[in-house]
Amino acid sequence: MPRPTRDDEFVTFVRVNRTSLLKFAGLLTAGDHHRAEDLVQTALSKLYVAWPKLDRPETVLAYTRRTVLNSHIDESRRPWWRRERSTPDLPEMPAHEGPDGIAGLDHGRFGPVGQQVRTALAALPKQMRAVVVLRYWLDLSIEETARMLGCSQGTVKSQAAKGMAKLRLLLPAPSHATGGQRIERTNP
Amino acid sequence: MNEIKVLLDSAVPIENEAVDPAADLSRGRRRLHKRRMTRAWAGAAGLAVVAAATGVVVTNGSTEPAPPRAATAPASTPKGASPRSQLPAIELVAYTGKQVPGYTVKSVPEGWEIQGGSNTVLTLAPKGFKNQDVNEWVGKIAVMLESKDAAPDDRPITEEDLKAWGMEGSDLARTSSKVTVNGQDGSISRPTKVDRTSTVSVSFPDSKGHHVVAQGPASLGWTDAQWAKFAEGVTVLRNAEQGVG
Repeated sequence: MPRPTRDDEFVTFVRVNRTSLLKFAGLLTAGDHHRAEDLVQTALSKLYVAWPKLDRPETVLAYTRRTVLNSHIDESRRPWWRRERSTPDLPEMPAHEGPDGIAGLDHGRFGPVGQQVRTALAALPKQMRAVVVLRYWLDLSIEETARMLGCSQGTVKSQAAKGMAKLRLLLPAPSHATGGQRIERTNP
Repeated sequence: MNEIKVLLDSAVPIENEAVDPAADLSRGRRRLHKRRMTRAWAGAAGLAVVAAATGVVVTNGSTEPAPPRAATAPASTPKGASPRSQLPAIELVAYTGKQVPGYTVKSVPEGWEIQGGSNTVLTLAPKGFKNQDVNEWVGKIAVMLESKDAAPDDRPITEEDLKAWGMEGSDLARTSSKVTVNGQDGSISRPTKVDRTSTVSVSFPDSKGHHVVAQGPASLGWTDAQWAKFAEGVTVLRNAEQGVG
């Protein structure tokens, strides 16, 4: 049986993981779907280049998440990159916009809870938001989160605590929180 | 803990639909190709940026001498050519000047010269070209051995690939076609949309089995046959070395 090529393996990886990477990037960008798509596209193209060096399958997803995260954080250091630039052509892959709005982020289709959470996430500083996402959405340990962000474990603890406190403040209504659930106090 | 996860999930209600990896694959290959071509000699990550910036100067044509044009039009217009590249192609003429280490060529575009080179790359440019850096190739032809980092499957995506992966349609940035060089199979990769900095690249084996890549501006207006003729005139010398990246 022939050995799978880089293309075969990459295609399989994209098929399996793209949606979760888009969600991850969507949380980091507080629901900015277009920015999230940019981050994922960048990370996947970098992944393709680095593919031969990632010899263990379990490292591939971690590498890609880290690339998404780094690209997201890097952008705050390069404000020129975020400026709008005019181009002669439309983007190569337009967002799937239907009669209900842009898929995945439409208020009417998905109700007010998602929008409320996105607004709350947007109110968090970038790194704090990243800590919350890594700790509570990806379920990474404090140590893993610190390693991903290149900061101390103490920073992760304090940022997680402050982030959760702020989210509790911004999302007070339990009826909006997934059928009456409220954010419980958790250990950072 | 689970509540916050569910809540965060609700912020990104992206449905789990079938993913089409064609565009990601295409972007990945483009990045790899660009990286290889820009880093082959120097291994400098910033070279692409420099080249892009240089390209603006070159292609604006404000300071560069206009390359001479041949009197006759090419036999056929290359696929994907823009009105700019539909100008008469630059003719290929025999080269009698000085060669450099690494590679020799039998022919060059009319009015062009060997700008310089090393064991890893040979650079051709119009005579008097402003950018004399042999490691910047915007508006020039670069000849080199395939990179050490090239995987055996690093070839342009074709319609056949898409069919094999169960995909339909494509947004391929480049198209690939087969070409015969030195009696063996090679391939020519052309951009689907030609702009000022678009390049055509030819991958071919030489008579000694080296895998060689030649890249030049799409604005040369060369047909596949002309690229093949140029490629057949390339000789890889014993001291030629593969680049990295």
